[in-house]
Amino acid sequence: MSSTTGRLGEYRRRLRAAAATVLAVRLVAAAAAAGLVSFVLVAWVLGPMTPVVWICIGWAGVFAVIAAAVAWSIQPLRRLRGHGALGLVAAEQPTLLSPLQSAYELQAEGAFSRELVVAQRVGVLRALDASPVRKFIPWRWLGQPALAAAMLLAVFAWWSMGFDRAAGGGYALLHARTVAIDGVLTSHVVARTDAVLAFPDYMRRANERADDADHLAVPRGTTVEYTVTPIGDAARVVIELPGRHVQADRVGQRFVASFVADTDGAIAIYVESDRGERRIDHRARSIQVLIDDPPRIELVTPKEDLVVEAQEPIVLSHSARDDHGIQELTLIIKLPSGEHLRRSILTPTEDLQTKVFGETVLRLEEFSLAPADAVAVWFEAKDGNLVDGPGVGRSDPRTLTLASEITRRRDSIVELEKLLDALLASLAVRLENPVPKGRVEAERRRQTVAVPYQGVRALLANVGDHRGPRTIPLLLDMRKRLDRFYRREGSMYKDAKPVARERFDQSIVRELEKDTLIVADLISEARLNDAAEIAREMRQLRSEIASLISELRRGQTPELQRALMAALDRAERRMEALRQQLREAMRYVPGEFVNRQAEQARSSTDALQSLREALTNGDLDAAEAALSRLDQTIEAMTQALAQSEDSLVEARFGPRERALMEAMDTIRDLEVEQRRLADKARRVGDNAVERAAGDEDSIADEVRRELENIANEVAELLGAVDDEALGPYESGMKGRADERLEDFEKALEGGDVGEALSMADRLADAANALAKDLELSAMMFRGQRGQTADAAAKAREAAARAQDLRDASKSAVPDVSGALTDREREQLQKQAGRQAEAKEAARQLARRLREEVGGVPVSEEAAEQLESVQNPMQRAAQSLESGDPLEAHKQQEAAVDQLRRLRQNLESQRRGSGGGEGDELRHSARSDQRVEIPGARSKADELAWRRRVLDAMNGTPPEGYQQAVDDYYERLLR
Amino acid sequence: MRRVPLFIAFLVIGSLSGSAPADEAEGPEILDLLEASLSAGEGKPAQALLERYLSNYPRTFRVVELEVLANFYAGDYEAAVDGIRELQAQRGTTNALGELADVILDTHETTKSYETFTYEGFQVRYAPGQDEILVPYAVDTLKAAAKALEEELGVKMVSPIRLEIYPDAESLSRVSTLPVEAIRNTGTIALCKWGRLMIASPSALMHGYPWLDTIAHELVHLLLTKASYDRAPVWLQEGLAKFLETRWREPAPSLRQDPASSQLLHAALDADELLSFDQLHPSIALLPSQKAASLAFAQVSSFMATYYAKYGRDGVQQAIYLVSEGEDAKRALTHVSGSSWKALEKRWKAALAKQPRLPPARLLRRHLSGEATEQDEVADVELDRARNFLRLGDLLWTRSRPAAASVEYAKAHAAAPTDPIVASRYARAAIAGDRPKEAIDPLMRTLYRYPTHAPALSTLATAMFRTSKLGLAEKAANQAIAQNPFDPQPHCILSKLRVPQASHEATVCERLGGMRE
Repeated sequence: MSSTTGRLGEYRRRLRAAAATVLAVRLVAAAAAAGLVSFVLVAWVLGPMTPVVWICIGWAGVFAVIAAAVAWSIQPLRRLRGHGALGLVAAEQPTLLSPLQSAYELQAEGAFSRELVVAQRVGVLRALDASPVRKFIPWRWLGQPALAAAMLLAVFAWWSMGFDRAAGGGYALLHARTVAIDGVLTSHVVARTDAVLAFPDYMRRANERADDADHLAVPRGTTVEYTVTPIGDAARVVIELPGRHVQADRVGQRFVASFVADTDGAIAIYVESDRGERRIDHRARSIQVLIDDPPRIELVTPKEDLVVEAQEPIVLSHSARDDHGIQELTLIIKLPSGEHLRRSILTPTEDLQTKVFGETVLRLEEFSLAPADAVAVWFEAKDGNLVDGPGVGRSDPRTLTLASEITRRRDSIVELEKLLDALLASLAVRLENPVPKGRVEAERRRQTVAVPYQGVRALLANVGDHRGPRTIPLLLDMRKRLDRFYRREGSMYKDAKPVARERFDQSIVRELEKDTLIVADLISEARLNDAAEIAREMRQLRSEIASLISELRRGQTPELQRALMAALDRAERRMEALRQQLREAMRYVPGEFVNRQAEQARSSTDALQSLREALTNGDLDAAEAALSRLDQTIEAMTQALAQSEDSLVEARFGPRERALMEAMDTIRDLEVEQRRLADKARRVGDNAVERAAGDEDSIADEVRRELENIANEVAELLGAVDDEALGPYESGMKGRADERLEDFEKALEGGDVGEALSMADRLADAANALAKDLELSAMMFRGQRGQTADAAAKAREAAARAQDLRDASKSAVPDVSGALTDREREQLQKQAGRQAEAKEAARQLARRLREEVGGVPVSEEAAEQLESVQNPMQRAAQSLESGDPLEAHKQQEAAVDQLRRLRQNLESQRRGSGGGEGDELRHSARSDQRVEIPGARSKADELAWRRRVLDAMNGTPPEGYQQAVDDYYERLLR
Repeated sequence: MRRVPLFIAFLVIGSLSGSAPADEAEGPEILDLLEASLSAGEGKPAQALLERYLSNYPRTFRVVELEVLANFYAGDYEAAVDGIRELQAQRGTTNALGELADVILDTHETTKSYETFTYEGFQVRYAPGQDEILVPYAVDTLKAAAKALEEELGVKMVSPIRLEIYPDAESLSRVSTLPVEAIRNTGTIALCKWGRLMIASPSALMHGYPWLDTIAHELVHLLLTKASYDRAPVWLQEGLAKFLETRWREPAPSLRQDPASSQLLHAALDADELLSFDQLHPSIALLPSQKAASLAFAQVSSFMATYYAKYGRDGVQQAIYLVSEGEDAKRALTHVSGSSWKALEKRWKAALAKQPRLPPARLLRRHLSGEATEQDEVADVELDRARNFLRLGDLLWTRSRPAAASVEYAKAHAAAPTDPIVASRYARAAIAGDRPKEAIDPLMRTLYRYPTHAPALSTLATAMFRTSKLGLAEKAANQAIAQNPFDPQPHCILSKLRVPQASHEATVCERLGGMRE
C-alpha cells in the first residue's frame, strides 16, 4: 500500500510545484512590467527636480500599479478552487478527475476494504502512466494578451529611460534625499556637457572641441568654454571649479561658462530651477591640467668630463627638443670663481623650432684659468611658455679642466691606481683558482687567468708619462718580467708536468705580489709628491696674495678685490686638494707619513679662513697677520711633506736605491777599466801599424789610386744626398761623414796608413748611420715627392761604397799581427785576461741587478744593457787572444761607449730621484730648469720631422686605411 | 636641615683623620674641614660645609675660591665658572687658583653639552652621540668595583662617584692638563683627579683599550686618594690600582697576566734595568714612552701583588692608614711588614724570578683614532715578509676578494704565526670564507700572548658562534666589549644568545651598523 500511496502523493506534489512555478513567473513578469511602466511614467511626469511629496505620491502610484498587477496575476488560482491541483488535470483530461479524486478520498477514509482501495488506486496509477505531470502544466497562464502588452510597454519604458527627463525623474525617484553636498541635493539634472578648448597662444594650436566634457585634460592656461545642457527648465547654472565658481550664461536651452584651466580637480555643476530649487548634478566630473614640459636638452659631446689644453678647441654639441618650440638657447659656463658666463646660442624669435641641433667651440684660454682650474659647462633651453613663465631645460654639466702639471700628476696617479687594480685582479684570480692536475682543466684555468694578466700587460704596454724618478724604470722592468713569464707560461702547458706547472704558477704569483706592492708604493710616493707639489704651489699663491694685499693698501679697486678673492678661492681649492691627497695617501701608508701634514693642512685652511674673514671685514692688518700664519704653516707643511716623501722612499725603495748607486759605482769602475784596456790595445796597435807600414815603405801607387777612386765615389754619392731632405740632425751626420772622408784623404796623402784605415772605418760608420736614419724616416714618410726616400737611397749607396773603402783600406794595411813583437804579444795576452775579468765583472753585476733588494728588483733594464756590453767585451778578449789589437780596440771602444751610456742613463735617473739631499734645490731645479734630454732631437729636428709628417699626410694611404692613417698622423703631430 | 651637611662632613673627616665632628667646628675650622674634604676628593661634603659656613660668616675672597673648588669637585662646573668670573670681577685675577682656573674653564667648555646619567651613587657624563652605548657597561662596572674595592681598601665615597667620558684624546688633554703628546707616548687614556674619574672613550683609540678595567683602576685611585688623604706616592697608587683593577670581576685580587708586560719586567730584571720607584713621580703618564710606562706598571703592580700575597688585605689597609697619617709609603710598608725595604724588594725580586715565564710577546702600539689607519697596524707587524703578505691581503680584501685575501693572510700567518695582527686578519678571512673552525686555533694562540687584543677577541667570538660553541662565544664577546665596545660584532653575537641583555645588545648592534660576518 505504501508504494501506491507514495506514487499518488508524488504525482500530486509535482503537479502543485509545476502550477506554482508558472504562477510565480506570471506574477513577477506582470509586476515588473507594470512597475517599470508606471515608474517611467511617473519619472516622466515628475521630472528631475521634484519636491519630496510628489516623489512619495509617484511612488504610491507605482506601488498601486504593481499591486494591481499582482492581483491580476494570481487570478488563475481561483479556478483551481475545490479540486486544488487536480483541477489542472480536470482542465486537460476531465475523465481522470473522478478516479483521481476517489483515490485520494479512499486513501483518507478507513471504512473501505483495503484490497478494494488498492485495486482502485492501481487502476488510477495505470491511467496516470499515460498522462505525466508535464501534460498538465498550465502554460496558458502566461500566454495572456494583457501580460504581453504589459511586457511590451515595459520594454518601451525601459527604452524611454534614455531620455533625459525620464532619467532625471528616475534618479530623483531613486535618490530622494539620499545625497546632499553643502545642503544641496544631488540629482540627475545635467543632460550633457561639452567644451571648446582655446589653447595658449604660444602653443600655436588650433581650438578643439570636446563633445564630452565630463573629464577634461587640457594644458595649463587653456581657455575652456564649458557648455552645460540641463534637464528640464533651469534658471541658473553654476560650475564649481577647484577654488572658484563660474556662473554659466544661458544660450538657448544651454548654459555656457568660460574659464582658464589652471588647477587640477573636480568639476561640480549646480543647477537651479525656476522655482529656486538647487541641485548638484550627480555625475563625477574632473579637469586635469597638463603642465607644459620644459625643453629637453642634451649635451651630446663631449660625453664625459675632459682635461684639455688651453688652446685646444672643445666642440660642445647639443640637441634640444620641445613640444611647442624652443625660444632661447644658452651655453652657460661656470668659472672657478663661481661667476656664470652666458653665451647665447639661439635668441628669442617668432619662428620657434621644436628641434635644435648645433655645435659650439670653446677654448679654455678664453677664461684666464690657473693650472688645474676647471669650468663647468651646460646648455639651458627655454620655451615660450607665457602661462607659467618659460620652461627651462638644462643639460647635464660637463667639467672641463685645464690640463697642467697638476692634472698630469693626477692622471699619472689614476693610471697607477688602474694598474694596481689590474694587478690585484690578476693575482686574485690565480689565488682563487689553484692549478688543476689535469692538463685540459689546467688549460681552461689558464684561459681564465690569462684575461686579467693580459689586462696588466695592456696597461704596461704604454707606461705613460710618470713623474716619479723610479716609476718608469720600475714599470718597464715589470713589463719585461711579466712578458717573460707570459711567454714561458705558454710552453709550460704544452709538455710540462703538473708539478712544474704548479711551481711556475707560484712564480707568477710571487711576481704579481711583488709588482703589486711596488705599484702600491709608487702610488704612495706619487700622492705624497703631489701633496708636496701642492704645498709648493701654495707658497706661490701666498706670495700672490701678499702682493695683492700690498696693492690693496695703496688703493682699493674692485678689480683688485676680485683678483684677491679669486686667489683665495684658488688657494682654498688647492688646500682641499692637498687634504684629499693626504686622505687618499692614508689608504696606502701609515699615518706617521701624513698625520702631521694633515694637521698642518687643517691649520693652513683655518689661516686661509681667517684671511678671508679679515679681508671681508676690510681689516688689512689682520689679513697680513693671518697671511703670516699661513706662511708659517705652509712652510712647515712643505718641509714635512718633503721629509715624508723622502722617508717613504727610503722605507720602501731605499735598499734598491742604494743597490743602484753601488751598481753605478761598479759600472763607472768598469768603464774606466775598459777605457784603460782600450788605450793599451790602441797603443799596441798603433805601434804595430807604424812598424808594419815602415817595413812596407808606403802604399803601392796602384792601391793608393784605387783607394782615391773609391773615396771620390763616396764623395760624389754623399754629395748627391739632397740637403733639403735632411733635418739638422741628419745634416750633422752627413757633415761628419764629409769630414771623415776629408781626413781619410789627407792621411792617405801623408802616407799614414793606420790613420787612413781608422778614418775609413769612421767614415763607413758615419755613412751607415746617415743611411739608417734616412731609411727609417723614409719608411714612415717618404717626403715631398719622395725626397726623403731618394736621399735615403743615395745615402745607402754612399754607405755601401764607404764600406768598400774600409775593406780596401784594410787590405792595404800591412799585417799588423805579424808586426807584433813578442813583448807586445805577451801584453795582449795579459790584456786578454783582464778583459775577460772585466767581462765577468759585468756579468756578475748584471746578475746582481736582477736580484731583489728589499723586495724590489734593482733594474732589469740595466741588467739587460750590461749583458749586451758583454758581447763586445767578449769579442775584444778574443781579438786580444788572437793578437789583433786593432779589432780589440774597436770592440773595447764599443764596450766603453755602451758602458758610458748606461752610466749616464742611471745617473740621470739618480739625479731625478734626488737622493734626499738638497731637496729644495732638487725641486726648484726640477721645476725651473730646462731639461736637456741626451740624444734627443733639437727643435729644428722636430720641425723637420713635423714637416715630413705633414708631407706624408698629403700622400694617399692604402684603401680602407684613410681614417687610421689620419688618426696616426694626428697623434704623432700632437 | 643644618645637621645634614655636618653629618656628611663628619663622615668625611671621620674617615680621614678622626678629627672633631663638624657640627662643633667654628668658622676657620669649617674651612679647614672643607679643604680636607677636597683633598679627599669629596666635593659634595665640601659644598655642604661651605653652605654651613656661609650661613654664619661673610663671603670673602678666599671663600669664593673654596666655593669654586667645591663646585668643581662636585661637578657643578657652571657654578665654578661663575665663581671664577666673580673672582676676576672682584680682583681682576684668579692667581690664587693658578692654572686650575683655566682647567675649570676648559672643563666647563668641554663638558657643557654632555649628557649625565645618574644611578644610585654613580654619575656618568658623556658626550652626546655614540658614547651613550658605554653607559650601562660603565655603571655596572662602577657598581661592582665600588663594592669590591670597599672590601679591599676599607673605604667608600660619600659623594656620588662621577665618571666623565671624553670622546677623544684632545678633550681629555684639555680637561686634565695632560699633553696629547704624553697621551700618545704612554698610551695613557684615563686619570683620576679633582674627585672624579676621567677616561677617553674607547673610540679614541683605534681598537679601544681595556676600558672597564680602566674605570676600576681609576676608582682605586679615587678611593686611595681618600684613604691616604692624597698622600700616597705615585708608585703605591699605581701599584695598587693596577693590582686591584680586575678585582671587580674576580672573587679575589689577582694580577692580570699580560705576557708583553711580563716579558718587559723579566728583561729589565735580568738586565738589572728596573726603574726606581721614585722615578715614577709625578706621573706614569709623563714617562717618555709606552714601553717605560708598561714597565713601570708591571713593576709596581707585581711588587704590590707580592706584598698583598704575604700581608693580605689588612696589611695593605694598615699601610695606607700610616701613609694617611703622614708616614712615608716605603716606611709604612716596612712598618707593617716588620721587614726592611731592602728585604721587601729582595722578596719581590725573588718571587719575580720564580714566576714561570709567559710566552714571548711584544708591546703593541696604541694608535689614536683619526691618526691611524689599518696601514699603521700593518706597519706594526715586525717581519717584512709577513707585512708584505698582509698588505697584499688587505689590498685584496678591500677589493672584495676575500678568498684571495685569505690566501695572502695565510702566507702572512705562516711567516709570522705569533703576530696578533696577522692572526686576526687571517681568522677574519677564514670566517668570511665560511671556515670558522680554521680561525679558532690561531686566535687562541694569539690571545694566549695578547689577551687584550680586541680584533682577535671579536673574531674569536664570531668563530665560536659560527661553530655553535655558544658559551665560549659569550665569554669572548663580553671580553671584546670590555676592550672595544664600538665593534658591533660582539654585541650582535650576544644579541643572538640566550643572555638577559640580549635585546639591549640587539639595539646596540643595530646602532653600530649590524653584524659583519
